[in-house]
Amino acid sequence: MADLNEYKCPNCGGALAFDSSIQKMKCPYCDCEFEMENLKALDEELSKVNADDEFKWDGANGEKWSEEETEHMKVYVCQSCGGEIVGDENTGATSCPYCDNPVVIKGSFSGDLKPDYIIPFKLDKKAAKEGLNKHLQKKFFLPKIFKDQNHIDEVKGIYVPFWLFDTDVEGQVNYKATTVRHWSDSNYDYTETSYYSVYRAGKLGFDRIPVDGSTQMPDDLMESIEPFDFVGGAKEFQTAYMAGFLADRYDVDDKQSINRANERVKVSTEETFRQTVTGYTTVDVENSNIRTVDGKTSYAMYPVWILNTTYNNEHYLFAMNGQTGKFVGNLPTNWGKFWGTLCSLSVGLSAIILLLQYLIY
Amino acid sequence: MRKSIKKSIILTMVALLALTFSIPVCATENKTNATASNINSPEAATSTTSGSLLLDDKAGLLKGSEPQQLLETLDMASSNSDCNIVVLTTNQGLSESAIQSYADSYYRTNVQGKSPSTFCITLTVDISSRKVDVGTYNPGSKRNLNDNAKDELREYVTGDLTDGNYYKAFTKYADKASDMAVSINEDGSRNKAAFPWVKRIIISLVIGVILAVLICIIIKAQLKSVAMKSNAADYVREGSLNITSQSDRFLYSNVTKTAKPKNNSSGGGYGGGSSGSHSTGSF
Repeated sequence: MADLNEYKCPNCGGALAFDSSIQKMKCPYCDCEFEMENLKALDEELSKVNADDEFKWDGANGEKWSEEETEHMKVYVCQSCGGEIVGDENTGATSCPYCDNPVVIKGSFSGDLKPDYIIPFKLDKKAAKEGLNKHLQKKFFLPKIFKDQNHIDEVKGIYVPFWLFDTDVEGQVNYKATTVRHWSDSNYDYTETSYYSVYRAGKLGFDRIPVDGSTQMPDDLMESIEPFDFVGGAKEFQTAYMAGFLADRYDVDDKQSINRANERVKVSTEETFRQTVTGYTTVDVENSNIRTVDGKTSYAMYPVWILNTTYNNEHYLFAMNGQTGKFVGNLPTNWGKFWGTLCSLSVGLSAIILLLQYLIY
Repeated sequence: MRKSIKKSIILTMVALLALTFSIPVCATENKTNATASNINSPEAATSTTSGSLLLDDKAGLLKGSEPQQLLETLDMASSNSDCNIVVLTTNQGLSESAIQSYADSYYRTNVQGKSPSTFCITLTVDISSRKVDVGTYNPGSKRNLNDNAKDELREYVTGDLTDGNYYKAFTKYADKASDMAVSINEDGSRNKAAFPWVKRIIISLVIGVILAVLICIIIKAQLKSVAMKSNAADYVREGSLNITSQSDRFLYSNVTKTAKPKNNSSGGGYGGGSSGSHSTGSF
C-alpha cells in the first residue's frame, strides 16, 4: 500500500506519494519518480534558497564641505529642466549641459556631502569633439544632414556624482539544469531529457559598483559609459580638481541608489556561480537568496563630457567617459534610406538566391 | 547581451540560406512538349485486367467513371513527360518488400519493352496492409528520380490516401510524377526548361526579404549605444569567488521517441533491368 508524503513534485508541483512497489516517491500526475534521499536534500536546499534576500549597507559617512571649500563655488539652476549644477566663480556656466537652456545663479553652494574620491578628467574638450566625430562615422542609416550640420559648440565637462558600493555577498542559488541525449534503433529516434537540481552556495566580493546620484543625468547614459578605472585613476577629493569644470549636485541619496546596486549584485552573483555549473545542456536560475555582508558606501565624482544637440525637434544627448574616452549616445535614423535599402536589398538578395537556385537546379 | 542578439540573427541568416538550398528541387510548373509515347496503344491498353497498361485497380478503389478519367489523366501525363506513369492497387496485404516486388513484377510484365520510353514511375497501393510504394525504373539510363524526389512524391499523396480520397490522390500523383519526370534530362542532368520559376521566385522573395530585414536591423543597431547594464560583472573583486557548498542532484528524466520515416529506398538495381528503386511507407 502506498504511503502519502508531503513532498511536492519538482516537475509539476503535484503532491508526491510513496510507491512501495518501486520503493520511490512517485508523482500521480506526471509519473515522475524520485529517490527519497534526493527529495529530502532538495527540500533542505530549497528552504535556504527560498529565504528573502537581505541587503544591508552602511550609509555614506562622508564629511561635509567646509566653508573655505565652498566659498568660491556657485550653484546654477536650469530654468527649463530644473537641473542644478555647481561651478566655481570663474567657470561661470551659462547654459544647462543637459538641455542647453539658460541657467541662472541660484546662490552659494553649501550643505551637500563632500565627495570621498574624484577621478580627474584625463581627456580634454578636443578629445570629446573627436569622440563625437568618430561616433558619427560608419553609421549607414544616420541622416547625412545630421552628420554634416552637427555643430556642437557647447561641450561641457561635468563631474557627475556617483555612489560607490563595496560589499561581500553570501549567496545560495538553485539552478534547474538539463542534459539531452539522443539515440536511435531501427524503428525510433529517442531523446532523453534529464532534469537536475543544481545548488551552489558561496561568497563573492564587489568593489565600487557605481550608481549615478543625479536625476538629471540619464541612468542608462551613465551606465553605458562604464566602467571607470577607479584603481588606476581615483584620487582623494580636492576642490582643485574641479577648477574649470562643472559639477552636478546629487539629488538621489545613497539609500535610494542602493536598490540599483542590489539588482546588479544579485544578477552578477547568479551569473558568477553559474560559471561553476558545467556539463549541462541548459542551466537556468530557479531561485536564489543573496545577502550582502559589510556593505559600504562612498561618494565620488566621475568625469563626463556631455554634448547635446537637436535634430527634427528631438533632443540628442551624448556622453563621453572623461577618463577612458568611451563615447555613447543614441542617433537618429534616416527612415527613407532605411526603407529604400530594405527594398533594394530584398530585391537584390532574392535575385541572387533565385539565380543560385537556377544554377544548381 | 547585444552581441548574443547579433549572433542569433547571424545564425538565423545562415540557417535560412542553408534552408534555401536544401529544399528539394523536384516540383515543376512548366511542362515541355515531350515526345508522345504510344503507351496507350490498343495492345498495351488490353494487357491488364483493368484494360490498361498504366492503371491496374485490382483493389477496386475507383468508382464509376473514375477509372476511365484517371486513365486519360495518366495517359496525358505520360505523353507530356515521355515517361510511363503507372498506378497499381491491390488488396493482398503485402509487406514493404513484397509490395516492391509486386511493382517490379508489374513493370517487367506490362511496361518493359511495351513502350518506346524505358522510364517508368509506379505508385502501388495495398489497401489491406495500407502500404504505399513509389518505384522508378529506367534500365541503362541516367534519367531517374533521386531518393528525395521519390519520398516527396510518396508523401505528396499519403494524406489523401489516408483520408480515402483515392481518385484525388492518383490524379495528384499523375501531375506531380509528370512534372518530376520532365525535370530530368536523358543524361540525368536537370532540365533547365522545367525550372519552376513561380514557386522559386516566391521562395527567393520570402527568404530575400527576411535576410534584408535582418541585415537592416543589424545595421540600424549601430545607432543605439545607450542601455542599462544588466549586471555588475566589471566590479567583481578578482579571486573573491569561493563556493562553499554545492550539489548536483538528478531529479527525473523523460524519454520521447519518434517513429523513423518508413521509406525503404533501395537504390540501384538497374543492371538487371528488372527491379526499380523504391520509396515505401504506410498511409
